Amino acid sequence: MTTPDGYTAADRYAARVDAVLAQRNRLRGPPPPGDRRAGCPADHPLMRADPRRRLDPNLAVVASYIEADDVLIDVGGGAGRISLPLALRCREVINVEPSPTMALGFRRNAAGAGITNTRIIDGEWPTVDSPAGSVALVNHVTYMTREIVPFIKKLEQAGRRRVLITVNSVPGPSFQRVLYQLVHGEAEEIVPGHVELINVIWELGILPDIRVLPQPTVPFTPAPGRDAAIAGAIARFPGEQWGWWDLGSDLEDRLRSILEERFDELFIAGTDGFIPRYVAPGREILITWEPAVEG
Amino acid sequence: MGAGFKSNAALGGVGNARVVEGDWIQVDPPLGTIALVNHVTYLTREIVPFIRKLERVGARRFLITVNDPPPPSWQRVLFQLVHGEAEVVVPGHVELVNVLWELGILPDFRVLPLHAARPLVPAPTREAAIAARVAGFGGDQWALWPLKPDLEQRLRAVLESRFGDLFTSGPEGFVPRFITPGREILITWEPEP
Repeated sequence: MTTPDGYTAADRYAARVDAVLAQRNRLRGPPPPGDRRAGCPADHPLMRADPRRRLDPNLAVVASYIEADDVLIDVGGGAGRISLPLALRCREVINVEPSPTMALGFRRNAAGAGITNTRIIDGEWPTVDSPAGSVALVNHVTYMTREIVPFIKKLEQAGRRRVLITVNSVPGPSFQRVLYQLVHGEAEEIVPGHVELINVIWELGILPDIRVLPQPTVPFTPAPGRDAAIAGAIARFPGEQWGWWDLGSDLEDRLRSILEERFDELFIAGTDGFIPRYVAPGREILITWEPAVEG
Repeated sequence: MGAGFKSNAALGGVGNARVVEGDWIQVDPPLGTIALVNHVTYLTREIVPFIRKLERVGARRFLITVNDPPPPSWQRVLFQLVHGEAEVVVPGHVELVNVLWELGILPDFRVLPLHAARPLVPAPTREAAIAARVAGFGGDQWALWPLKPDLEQRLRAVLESRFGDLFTSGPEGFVPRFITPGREILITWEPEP
């Protein structure tokens, strides 16, 4: 379905990803070979999360869609921050995850919690050969997926009973756009978020429910001091546009000097410490539907 | 419609309802806690002030329902057969929600459980099926006034000559094949604190 400008929503989605990648390649260089998440610290919240923790309000909404007999396909499930708690509530979790670092974290987190009804398939969605399940789950994975239509169509095959996708508004890989502009001297190309994704889903004739999840996104914990706030900002900066590799000394120096010079503009001091003012974390959004039964 | 509202309220013994006569954009409405809009937005050209005004009167929550596909474009297949051109389709949920996003509003979007806004009632006979479609044809693009005689003749001729293509017969009667009632959608949000 083309729009008055002659482009489909899928065209616009791909163009957004292309613009982000072109800018990232120009300003950060190409990604180094190997595991893109290799540098993720073992104590990072993406790597370490207790599967038996009390569900936060957002995860509780996701969990409300899971039934005891479900086989859950977690697409890009990382170290199981979301799907391992769900494994305690369903028959099996299959994590399709291309990063060996994340896969190792998933196995460790599962073993540490005594969870045995999980397995990992090494591969990229949608080219991976994955079994079908009853629910397909995708958490904050779609922001850089250029070929979004085959990605969604394969979700419908994998999650025959339900598809669940979460994204954030504002998208996580574009949280730091204000700082990005200060550092790079140009506006950041923003990854496709809920607007672009939902328009593609509608274009495919799918009518999902869209739920703004109850707990506002809290992306960063407050830093106890000025130095820690700056160090945290430097550590997080590669997450922008998912350029997770080393910043290099020039870029890191430039970033550090901006953070030092503009500290009072860029950070706010609260009772728990310093929080970046330049991040508007927004809300997490759940997009979910029951795929049409074929045949 | 205002008279119908009052009459239905009286019929149901509802005493806590009143009517303010006027068009939404022009009227001076009282403040409430909830603003509700059911299947009204399809031909609202100035949608931004329409929504902004909703935000002024609904202190706690906003509720908008639309249908996918929009009812004023349900008969687009028949429209094309009768007029010889594709119907320009009214804005529906896609256009409306994109406007809300553009305004910085992040609504919930719920597909309601009971199919379409208005069920299609089967007609008991071929003649009744044709009569119902002639009577309902003006609903497309909300041209709710009587059809001119030449248009009505053309419509009737299309319905008669293509009856087998256009209607399906079930145990309860004839239902138009050219209408896909789809689903009713609730779009809802709370004002920013």
